[in-house]
Amino acid sequence: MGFFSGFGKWFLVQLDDFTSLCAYGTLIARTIFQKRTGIFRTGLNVLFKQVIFTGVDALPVIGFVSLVIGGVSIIQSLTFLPRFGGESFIGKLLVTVIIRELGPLLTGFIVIGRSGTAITAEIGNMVVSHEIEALESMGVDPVRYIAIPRIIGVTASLVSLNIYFNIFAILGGFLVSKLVLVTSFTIFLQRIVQSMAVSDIVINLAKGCIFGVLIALICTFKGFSVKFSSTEVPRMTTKAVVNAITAIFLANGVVTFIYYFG
Amino acid sequence: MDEYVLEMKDVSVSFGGERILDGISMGFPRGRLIAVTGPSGCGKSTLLKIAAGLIPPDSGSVYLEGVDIASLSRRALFARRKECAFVFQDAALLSNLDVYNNLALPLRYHYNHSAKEIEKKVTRALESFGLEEEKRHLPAQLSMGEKKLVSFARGLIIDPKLIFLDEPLSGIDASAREKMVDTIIPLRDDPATTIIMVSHNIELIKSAADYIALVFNKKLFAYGTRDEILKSRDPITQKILSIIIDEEAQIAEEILGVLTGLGSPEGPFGPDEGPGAM
Repeated sequence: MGFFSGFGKWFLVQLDDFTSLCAYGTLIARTIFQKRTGIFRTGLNVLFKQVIFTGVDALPVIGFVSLVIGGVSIIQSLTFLPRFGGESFIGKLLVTVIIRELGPLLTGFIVIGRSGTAITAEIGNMVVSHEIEALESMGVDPVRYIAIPRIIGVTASLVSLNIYFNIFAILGGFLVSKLVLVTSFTIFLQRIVQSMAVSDIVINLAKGCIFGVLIALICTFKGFSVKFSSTEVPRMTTKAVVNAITAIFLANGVVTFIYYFG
Repeated sequence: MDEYVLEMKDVSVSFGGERILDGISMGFPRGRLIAVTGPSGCGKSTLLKIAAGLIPPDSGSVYLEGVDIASLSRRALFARRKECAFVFQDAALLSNLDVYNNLALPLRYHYNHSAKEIEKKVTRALESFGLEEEKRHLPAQLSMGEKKLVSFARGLIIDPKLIFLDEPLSGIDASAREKMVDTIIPLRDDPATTIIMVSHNIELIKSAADYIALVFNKKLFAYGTRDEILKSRDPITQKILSIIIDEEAQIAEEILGVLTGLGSPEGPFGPDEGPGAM
């Protein structure tokens, strides 16, 4: 009985959390399409800072991770594929693994770790220090001034980082191939391009977009969920990370399912 | 009483199961300074935030210019706040923006002013509070007095018709107090501006308030003109006022005690206490 009542309570809390997140998402969508005077300038400044932090500053770590992942994927495929006479599939493998699946997911994880946590902690601290209340008292809508520029900034950054991830991963793959197979870059690139369909690029960009919106939506929502105490900030940040990771895994599954079975 | 710019009807609110305010009904006359006072923890600041629409009441209604603010859409509520200013007890400046940008934010957000116009308005506001040198300072680099002055300047920059002040003189130095009072008094005399001020400072209330609301035990205990309340012969009203005066004196005494300790050979700590004690 204890287990069932405990599970029931947990389920109700999760359901309440989810419905609140949906309501917040609806509010964001509605606010985006409302016309307002002056806001463009203030929002643009926040958006610019977010793109610098999430997109530009994350470039070195994305570059490093993707180079390694690209190289490792080629090493792994070179150990297995020749046994089955499948060296020609290396390009296809790189496209499927990196561009369709790993690229968007790993970029999403890095953005959650770097920017998602920062967004939740920043907004949470603003709530505790009454900065959000101060904005409201001035008639400055925190959703419009804080949340929307961050959502747009994180989404645009994630899509761009995704593209960089693909480029660096292919470069990493090429460097390893060059060492092992003595392949020229033109031939390597030709194989990749031949293996790539328009749908691969569309899926990659769509995942980047969806993950960006989900991460920013969840992380800003959790930041605003802080109520009174600064001890809530790290708790909400942890929740934001867990929920965002779960959300992008689910979204990844749904997109992949739709692609193959839709 | 005069026409009300803001009215509260049977407002109650609880936090975490504890009742903070119970059945408050009062009107705030236009063009007047209404001081809300009472002992510590009686719910004065909560009352002010409910009046400003920052906290929704559990029951009851708040009417701004005759319109129930609960009936306003989110967008309409934010648009109405354009004409209001709120000075928080802890200043609540945006910590990632410098003084200039804290003041410029409401102008940029609400109006299509050019950068030059914004600069002119912000500079004028900074000059009126003697804060020109702090223009590029972040809030963390300011004293509490300076923070509160910046917060007041930020509120006034949009020419508000309704000003909410939460303990404007608490925790600030003498020079900031003087500037604050010098700004409040002319605003009180402007018939177009209504000020609702929560304060513990009886001297400020005596010199500035047109009306006084006495909050005690979660309820509005007494509400009337300054003379009606301060010269009231009701023993409970007198007792509440003396509690407020005592609390203020106690705070002053504590501050004085610390300052006196700093001047003594042993400092504010005992001989075996404090930093460096072995």
